[in-house]
Amino acid sequence: MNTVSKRILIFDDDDDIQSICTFILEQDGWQVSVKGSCAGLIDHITAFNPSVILMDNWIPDEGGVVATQRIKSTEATKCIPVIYFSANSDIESLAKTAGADMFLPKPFDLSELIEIINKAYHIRQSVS
Amino acid sequence: MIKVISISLENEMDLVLSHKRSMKVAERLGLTVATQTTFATAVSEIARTVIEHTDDGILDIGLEQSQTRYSLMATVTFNKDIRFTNADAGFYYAQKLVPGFDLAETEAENMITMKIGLPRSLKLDPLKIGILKKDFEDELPLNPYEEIKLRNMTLHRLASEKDEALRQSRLIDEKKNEFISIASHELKTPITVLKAYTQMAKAHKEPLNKHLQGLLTKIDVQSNKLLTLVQQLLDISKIENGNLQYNMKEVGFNDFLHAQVTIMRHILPHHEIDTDFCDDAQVMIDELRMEQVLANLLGNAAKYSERNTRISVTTTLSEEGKITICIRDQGRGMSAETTHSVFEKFYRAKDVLKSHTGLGMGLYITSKIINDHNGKIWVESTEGSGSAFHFTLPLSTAI
Repeated sequence: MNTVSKRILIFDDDDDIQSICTFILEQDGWQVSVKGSCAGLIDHITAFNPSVILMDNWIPDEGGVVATQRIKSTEATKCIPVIYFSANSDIESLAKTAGADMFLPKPFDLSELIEIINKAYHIRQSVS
Repeated sequence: MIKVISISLENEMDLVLSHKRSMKVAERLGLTVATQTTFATAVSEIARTVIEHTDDGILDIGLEQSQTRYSLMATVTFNKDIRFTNADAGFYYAQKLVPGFDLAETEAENMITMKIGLPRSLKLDPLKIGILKKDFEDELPLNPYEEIKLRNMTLHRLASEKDEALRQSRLIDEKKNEFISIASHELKTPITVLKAYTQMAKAHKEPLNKHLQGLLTKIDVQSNKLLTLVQQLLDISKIENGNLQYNMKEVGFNDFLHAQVTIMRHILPHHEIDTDFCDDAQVMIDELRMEQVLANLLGNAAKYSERNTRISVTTTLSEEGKITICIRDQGRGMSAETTHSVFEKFYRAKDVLKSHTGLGMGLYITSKIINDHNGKIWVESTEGSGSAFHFTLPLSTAI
């Protein structure tokens, strides 16, 4: 596994959120891939091999909670840190239910976004 | 059938009622006494047979038109599980009395129909029947039993109407809160996008001119205001659903207050905020919620007073183990009426409706938060010279 490159897979169905995250994270040296739904979830993850996953709560079809649970219960993907992000005010408990490693409430500052993703990345580095 | 009378068949008293009412209808139609009696007897025989088996039978008496002739008609409906045979004396006897008799057994219920054709000489027409119907509606109760029965029915109807109204208003309330909750969530997404684009623009590599920087800062400030409003709406729906939750922690109050005042000095640069704190004390608070309280009270103090006036934040310790925080401004003050209502949800004083924007949510939420911290909040105000908002917090037992 290539642990050097910073690769992030983003699950969010909002076009603007997708383009903002892509723009900001590419500037920060990330290779970014975005998906508007969790169809073929595990296949996408294993194909792209991200070092961090950003998961929206409101993602078609199954929603972020179920998707994250699936990631965390699949052998090949369970070690990838998942950051849960949502405008839902119960984000903390949602993230916990989902089994996500971290969470980021919307709206967020761009600096917060970069900070939390890099934090997740470093955790990943130290684990592998 | 054109229904004239309906009687629920519950007990023997209803037999008397059925008999009397049947007689009366037949009499009012102008039938002979013999026919009146025949009809009334047939009706009460069936009613008796039904009452022997169940207490939820219904007797309806009325008229039926077939071509140009009318018939006097009575139907008794009852539970489908009850079957009558000619072994039931009343059932057998009634068949002999009336020319038209029918027992219909359906999926839902069983129904006995009795009919007597009316002579043309009675000259019935829709108008006459209408009057007859109206008369029976207005008729006074035949006996105390019927009176009680009618009152009971009215009470039942009123009670079920009330229940229904209550259920409806609960439903509407639930829908409203659900709507607010979903709407706030939906509003947050575009605000997220707006804030992000603004930050991206501000962080643009090529240097921006000062004017543009200023405009972007203004957009950012306004998005934050919008976000606060959305947050308040969400808080209100949470308060109403009873699930505003607190993350209580023990903190030294003076440090906490100092930090908050420092932040607020940046947010409210046109006012001087003075502080005078008592000895430090430990309190159990949800820091984020208490931040919200101070931002609301200081924000209001600034909003309703002139620029370059003073706002003071003072604290005092009381002997009963409480700390009292006072936020005093030199602003426009409030009328007695406003002082009285200012903590109510969506309340806005008449004199500021046009001059100051707002939705009347801030102080309602603030008072709720203080109450949930077992504190009290109140206000003293003089129109034209300023307001002082006070709130108390109990000291934690650690000291």
